[in-house]
Amino acid sequence: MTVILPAILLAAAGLLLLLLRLVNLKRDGVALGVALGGLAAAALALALIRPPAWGLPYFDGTVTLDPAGFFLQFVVFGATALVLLLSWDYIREGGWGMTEYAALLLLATVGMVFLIISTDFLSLYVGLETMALASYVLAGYARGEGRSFEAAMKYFVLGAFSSAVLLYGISLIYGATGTLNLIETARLLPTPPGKLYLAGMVMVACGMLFKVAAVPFHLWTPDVYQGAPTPITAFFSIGPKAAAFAAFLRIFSTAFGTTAREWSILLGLACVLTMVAGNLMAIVQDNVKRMLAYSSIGSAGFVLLGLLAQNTWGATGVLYYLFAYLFAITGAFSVVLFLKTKEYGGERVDDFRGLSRRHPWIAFAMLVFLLSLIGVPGTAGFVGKFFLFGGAIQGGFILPAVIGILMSAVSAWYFFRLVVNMYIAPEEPETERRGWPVVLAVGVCVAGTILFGLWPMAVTRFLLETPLLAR
Amino acid sequence: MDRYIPILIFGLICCSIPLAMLAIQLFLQVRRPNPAKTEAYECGNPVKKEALAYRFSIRYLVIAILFVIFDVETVFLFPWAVSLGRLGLFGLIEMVVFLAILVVGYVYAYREGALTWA
Repeated sequence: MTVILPAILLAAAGLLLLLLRLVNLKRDGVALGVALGGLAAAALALALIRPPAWGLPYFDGTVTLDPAGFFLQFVVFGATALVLLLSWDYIREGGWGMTEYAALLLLATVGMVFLIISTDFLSLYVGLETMALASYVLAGYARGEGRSFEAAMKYFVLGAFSSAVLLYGISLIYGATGTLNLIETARLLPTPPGKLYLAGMVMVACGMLFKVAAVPFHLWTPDVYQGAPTPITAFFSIGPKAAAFAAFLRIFSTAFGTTAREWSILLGLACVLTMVAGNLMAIVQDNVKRMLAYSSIGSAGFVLLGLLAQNTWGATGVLYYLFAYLFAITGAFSVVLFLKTKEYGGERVDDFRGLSRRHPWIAFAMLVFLLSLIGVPGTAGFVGKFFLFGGAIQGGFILPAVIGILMSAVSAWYFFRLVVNMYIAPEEPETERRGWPVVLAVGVCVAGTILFGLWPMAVTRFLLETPLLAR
Repeated sequence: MDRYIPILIFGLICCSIPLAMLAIQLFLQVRRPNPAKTEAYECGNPVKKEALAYRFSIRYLVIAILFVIFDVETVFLFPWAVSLGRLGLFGLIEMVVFLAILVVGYVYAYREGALTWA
């Protein structure tokens, strides 16, 4: 009961939002307050939970609480809270209403929590679908905007398809082992792995690679990220991705751990392709949302590196990189949201011209976020990449690690186009600015990026001292 | 594998009966078309436009979704009711929570005016 208390609180807050209409309190401010209150209550409940030991099975072994799940839940709570702040101005300007929006975000977060803490294919899949169904609606939340509708449709059709592939893979795994439990699966896997298991494993891998937007299953990402409302784009690039990576880690590291030789070729190939394609495609983008979308595809490749490594450093890298990525990518999107022009303000690379003279602090913040995304020492992104590449080299994946480091350099190239525009280009566009919630989000993200870049030990000590995943 | 063969045979029979019915009427039917006969059936009214040009109310969709929700609820209620004796108080509370969540959805739809035809 206590293990899923955060999820219960979030679901209760989500349902409460739907009932606000009943007492005629359906106002944007009330909705924001209830949603942030629900998130704070859930985070508090999670912080106060003291299980007798990490990784005990609860609810017949369907969920567990281990350090990885504990840590990533905070990451997704942070993502949802920051996205709520970012949405305040944007959603009100569009006149779309905060109540349903906040309710959907909270229910998506419930799905993410179950995706993170599940040790059973069935509850994992239900969590995934809860998250995905709310996400499809959120992608199309900007009613009346054609490209938002297009994003929702593409996301829905491709997402449903990939879920079907994943589900079929799960059914084949069940056929091979006779259990849906991830920890049991590791024990019952036939040795040497049979064809039934291999087919299931490949299908599960395809489904999960789609969910984390890895090449070659990335084609939906740029269109969905560009078309969705910008706060939701920020949400997609960290929340569902972090949750999906938790499940990815759990399935492949825990359940399929004994057959690492079989899947490491598959995931290694996907990892290298993702890093290369994501970062190279980002170079030619003129739309910042699209550029960040391709860069987030590249980042998924970096995280896959840690999954591939199969060691403590790799797993720590996955968690820490996602944590650092929360601040960096949400911060970058909040700067995009800060700029407001008549049509899709802040989305063109040219909108950033001369930003350092108009809003020097915001430009500095963007610089910090971009440096963290590149992985420059002193930022949180560096620590994440340090563990990812270190873990990959320890695990013997030298070539993917070298390619990863090269691709980090490539990412510096296209991010510096933005920096050059902000600091060197002569002033050009007329932009307005949005209000304090966005600025607050920018401030939180800058603080997080620098703080956890300079003092990573505050977090890494926790991550390195205990076994991260329940086995 | 042997145990699945009856299922396969069952599936084949299921498919072949309707196909056979369609085939029989293809051979036996009397075909004397005239323009009035080939028109789309519109309850006796003359056909106005192409079918795709019509707009139908989005409310049908909402009603359909609500129907599915309560349909699934019923499917879930039957096995619960049968084994309520063994589930005891815990089972009762679980179901009350489940129904409460569904009722929230229903109340929301009702207050948003999804069920009014105006």
